[in-house]
Amino acid sequence: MHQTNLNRVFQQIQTLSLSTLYEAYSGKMLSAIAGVLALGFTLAMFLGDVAITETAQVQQALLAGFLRVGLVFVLAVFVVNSSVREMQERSLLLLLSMPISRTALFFGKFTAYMVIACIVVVLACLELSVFAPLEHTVTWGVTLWLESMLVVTFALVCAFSFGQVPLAITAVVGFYLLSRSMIAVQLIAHYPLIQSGSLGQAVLTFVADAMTYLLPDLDKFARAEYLVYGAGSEIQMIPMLLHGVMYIALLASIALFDLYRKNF
Amino acid sequence: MRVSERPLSTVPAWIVIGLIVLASAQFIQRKVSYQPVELHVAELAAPPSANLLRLIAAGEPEVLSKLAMLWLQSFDNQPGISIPFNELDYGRVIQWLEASLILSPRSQYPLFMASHLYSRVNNADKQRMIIEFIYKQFLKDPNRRWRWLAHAVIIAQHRLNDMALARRLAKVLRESATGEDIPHWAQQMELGILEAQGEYQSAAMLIGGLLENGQITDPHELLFLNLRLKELKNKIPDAALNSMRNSAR
Repeated sequence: MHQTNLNRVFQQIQTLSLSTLYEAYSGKMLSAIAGVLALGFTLAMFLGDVAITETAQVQQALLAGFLRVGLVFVLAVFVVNSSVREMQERSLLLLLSMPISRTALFFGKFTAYMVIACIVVVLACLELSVFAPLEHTVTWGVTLWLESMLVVTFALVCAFSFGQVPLAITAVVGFYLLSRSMIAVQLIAHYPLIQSGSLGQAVLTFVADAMTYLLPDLDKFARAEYLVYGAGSEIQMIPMLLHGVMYIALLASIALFDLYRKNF
Repeated sequence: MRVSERPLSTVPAWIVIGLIVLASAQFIQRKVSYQPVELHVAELAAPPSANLLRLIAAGEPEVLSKLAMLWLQSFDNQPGISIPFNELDYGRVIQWLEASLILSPRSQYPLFMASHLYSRVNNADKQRMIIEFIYKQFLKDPNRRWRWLAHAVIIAQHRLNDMALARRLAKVLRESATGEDIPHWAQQMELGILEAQGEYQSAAMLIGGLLENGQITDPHELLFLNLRLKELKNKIPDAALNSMRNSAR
């Protein structure tokens, strides 16, 4: 009996995943991804002509930086847009009226986004392998996939919580930028020019420290140095990957918690 | 679209437990892997060219100028101030200061940093580089940048003990800064050099004068200069301090 239930949940997850994958395929997302890849490739070729030395490194670094931001942004916009539209057009309500658990609903979408992010990252790696060694590209690609999943899961949390595209996108962009620049924020907070010892300064330092506990270390993910210098050793990678997976699980549990409490 | 909330009991227990466990794991992971941020003074890179900076600024050069200064400030701004300044590549620092002024010629921030921060390095060559930078920038806008050259006069006189340089700078200050807002004492700095006042006394008079004439309104700058004035006054011998008070009256 238990086995049958589990099989049913897996079937529901599979169906919902395929439906989300079809939505991504039939919508404008593919065009957006193709646009980012094409623009990145053109940019890399152009900069390759401009650079007078370290041409390949210049192309690798700039293409990687461009693809990292561009692809993560397109994925986040797709996730927010798709989830909010389902809530606004009541198709989510229709799904929930069927014998489908909210867990299956969430994991159906989540699995589809994992597959989409994986395809997008593989395409980016293929493009980058024109300019960079394949083994460096793989390291970069794995960390980019984790970074994409972190942002995508956070986008799901925001879409369920806010129910509005502009608000959710703003929150995702804020989360992404802050997570990538926490070191700079900490530097500014910990080393003020005037050590006034004021309450404001103490609060600023406390908030900066608190944010480091809340946010993931995105500044260590998908760095161009992994491509250019092959800087991502296994020793550095394993704790980072584990932390990435754990943070995705944390965000997923927040999204599930919120989804279960929503009365659509 | 109004979305209300269902009771907490509708959330399956495994999700709540998972949430608590994962949040704790995140906290512990960050606690274990937390490393205090460290600044690497030797890694200051050269700024991009002026044209590239304008391109990056995307029509907002003032914003980029301010961001560049905050970035530079966070780079070298750490406890044990004399050691990192000595290790900094001053050629690069000056390039950043110049880049910021190219983006925002009216900004006083780069000159403030040059005059009050980078000039405090315990290295004569680097101090001369800073004076040279201030001097060149002063000539581009004397009436707006006079106070930085006034401070450079004091550095030349008391830290470099180069009276000829101090007099030359004071002379340029008197001849070039001719605006109505320039206080009398700034134009008379040449005389001060001849009277050979002590370094702390001269610097305290300059900062005290700036604070009194009301030109400085920024609360952070006021705080910084007040702290600096207090620091200087503690170093001035009592007799000289009394003489300063009398001359102020």
